[in-house]
Amino acid sequence: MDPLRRSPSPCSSSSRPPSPRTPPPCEAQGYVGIEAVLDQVKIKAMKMGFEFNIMVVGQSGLGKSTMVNTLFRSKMWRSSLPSLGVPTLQTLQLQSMTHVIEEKGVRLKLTVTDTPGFGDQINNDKCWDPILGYIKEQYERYLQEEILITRQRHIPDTRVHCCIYFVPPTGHCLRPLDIEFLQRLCRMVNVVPVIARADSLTIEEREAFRLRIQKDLRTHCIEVYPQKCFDEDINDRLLNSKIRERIPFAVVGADREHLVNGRCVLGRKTKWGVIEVENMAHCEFPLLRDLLIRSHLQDLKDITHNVHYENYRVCRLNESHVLPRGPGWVNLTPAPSSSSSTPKPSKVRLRTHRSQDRKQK
Amino acid sequence: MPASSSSLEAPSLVFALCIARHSLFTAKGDPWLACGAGCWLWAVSRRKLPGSCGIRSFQIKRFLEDTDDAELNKFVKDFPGSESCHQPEAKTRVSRSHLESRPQTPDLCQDDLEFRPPSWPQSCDSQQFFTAPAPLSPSARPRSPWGKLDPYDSSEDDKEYVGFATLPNQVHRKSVKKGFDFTLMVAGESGLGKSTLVNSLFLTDLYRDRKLLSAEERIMQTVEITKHAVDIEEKGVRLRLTIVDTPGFGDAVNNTECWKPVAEYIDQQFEQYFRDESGLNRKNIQDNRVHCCLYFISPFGHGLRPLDVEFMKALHHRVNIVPILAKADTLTPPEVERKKCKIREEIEHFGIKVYQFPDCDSDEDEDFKLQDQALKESIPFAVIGSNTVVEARGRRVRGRLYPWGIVEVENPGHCDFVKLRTMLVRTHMQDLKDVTRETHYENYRAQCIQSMTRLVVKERNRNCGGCRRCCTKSKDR
Repeated sequence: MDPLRRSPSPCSSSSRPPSPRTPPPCEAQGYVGIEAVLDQVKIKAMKMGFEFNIMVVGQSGLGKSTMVNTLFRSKMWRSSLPSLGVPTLQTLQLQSMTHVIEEKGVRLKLTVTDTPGFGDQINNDKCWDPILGYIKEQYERYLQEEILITRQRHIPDTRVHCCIYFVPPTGHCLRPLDIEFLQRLCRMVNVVPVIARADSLTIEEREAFRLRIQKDLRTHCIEVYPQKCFDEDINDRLLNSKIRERIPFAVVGADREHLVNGRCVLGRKTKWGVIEVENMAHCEFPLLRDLLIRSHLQDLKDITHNVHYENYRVCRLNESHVLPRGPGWVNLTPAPSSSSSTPKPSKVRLRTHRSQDRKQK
Repeated sequence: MPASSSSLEAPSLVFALCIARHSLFTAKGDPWLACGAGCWLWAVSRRKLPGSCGIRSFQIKRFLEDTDDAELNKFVKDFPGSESCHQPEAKTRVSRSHLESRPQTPDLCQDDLEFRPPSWPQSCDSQQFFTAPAPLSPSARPRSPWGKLDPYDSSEDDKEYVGFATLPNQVHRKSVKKGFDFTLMVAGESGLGKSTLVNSLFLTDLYRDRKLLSAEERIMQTVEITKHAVDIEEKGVRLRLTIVDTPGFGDAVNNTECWKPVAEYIDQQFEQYFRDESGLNRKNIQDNRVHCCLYFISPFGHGLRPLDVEFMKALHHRVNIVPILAKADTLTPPEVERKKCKIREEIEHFGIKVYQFPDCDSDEDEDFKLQDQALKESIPFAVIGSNTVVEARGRRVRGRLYPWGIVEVENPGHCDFVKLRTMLVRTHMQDLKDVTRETHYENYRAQCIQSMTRLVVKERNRNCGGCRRCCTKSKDR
């Protein structure tokens, strides 16, 4: 019999957050002080740190790696230019990199998964299978951790929270490959489509392209993030509908700095001017960054956990033909059916780089 | 023209300015010059914004002095935030007229507002470049507990940051929306002041229509478990509090195993949660697990009684036990100290694992460590409860009126009530829930699964009776 998990004794409370420093003052009688619970939640969250997993999908040359570098302000990725003569990759190979970044006391463990080789072949049939397989694999990993008898206090979360899909700036409409991919992916993960390399389109062209893309998405019933059905209340709906009007964002990525009017800005320098990434007049990168990081990061994680993961779990349970009639069913062996539901295993090379702290504690 | 009457905090201001710039400059001629000025405007807005008001008039004035850009003058004047700064600051003080009134506040707390999401423009040609969603309630907002810790409040250039330090705020916002729940159990003999204490702790009147049983009725009474649920809301934060009471505990003549119904109740809640968690529909799981048990020790004995010891030993692996020395106004301070020491010794002697406070980090300062130490040494908390309000030293306080003086419940010098309430609600509520969830519940779950597995294996062995074919077939399943 496994030893009982020890009730925390003074020696073993390393993982518990310490008592909050000072409770908020009791301003008057007639006040219980419930709002202090928020403080406690926050301290716990800060101590544990946050996790975020993001996947970028798109054809090569659309600036995915550069976009990741711009989003997180660091050279996460060396944008690799394939040298001439090297054959393009035959199969889609997913590469993951994990970094721990810290800002203002908040620690974030960020994992970026790149998908080089997507849509690059002549015959791109089923090129989305490795990606779907990878996403399902992460869900499966989490599920297996969750049904263990002695499970960890905090299950490491490798599920993909957000998938950014790069649409090439053709200016016309979504291509069949885009539509096929988006249809399949929207059911499993939060997808945020963006118009890549938007500096090749003028503002009017961008707007027209955007409207056409929105129309295409509606025609094919593709629900991108933020999904309409998950709006919780009126506030959310108001805000999210405004975001939905601007999806897909027209973005430009850059990781070089240039001098403009005496200031250093991230941008692309051309003969006719400098395209500033952070400038709302030039591109919508700030909107994308704000959506992903500053305002909806937690929401992305919540929807992944509460909706997409639950859907996957229900499917898995039904597949195993074990109905939840009492606790006995947890003997869910990794069923052989799991390998048949995921397609041929993709070559997933996980390169975990050293954790770098941007700011020392 | 929307005029957001309440304060705008830094992040939303930035978003607003971003969008404003965008709309403004697409209508004008030269994007690059305007762009430079716009970025400066943005950088200016990132400076520290003290107080609760968003952008203050002096900041706008300073900015206007700095640049001579006429465009930006116009922009700033049109900017809705600038109107609010001409009004007197919305000093957020919730009036508390009388003793028992809870601060009734709007649903939106200040932090929600400081975090107000960006306003996304309708179209880039629209002149109305800032439409904030209407706040839920226009009244004054109380100071958020995280107001001091708002990220991106410094004068550093915001462009250097990625921006995820708003994560705690995002979590906060969701927590406020969802609300909290807490289940508290009170156990102990009758007449120790359990109901009164609960009323005092949460300023409710849960036991208004209670009828005390007479002695004859009590003889036949078995221990029952009763639940009272109440919703408390303060400053926009909702708490669903459930009090589990155990009337009849320790009242009979023969009290053997009177803790059994209590232990069974707790196990039942764990089992129900386990089933729900393992089921298919996990969206709306009701969490009825008991997070904390206040056990009342009588002040009239000499330390722990045998019943107390048995109860705590039966339950310390199932629930967080916080021992309470009840009716402490019957004891003088030295007696209280002696009793506390005795009870602590006995708890250690019998190997009872009461709830332990988490340690503070080693890099905390001395004051905090002392505070923490003081809290740990206050176990068991000597409390006094009261349902009545009396006049003491010119103020109306909860207390008990005796001919020889007035006992004030909320006076730290009189009893540990304040410490208990602080611990329970303001500093350790989340930790209590975490320990329940991560330790007690996980232990229960592990035991449950193992016993189930053993049962299944036994059944299988019995049924097939050792037949080789059956065994291999069932192994493959």
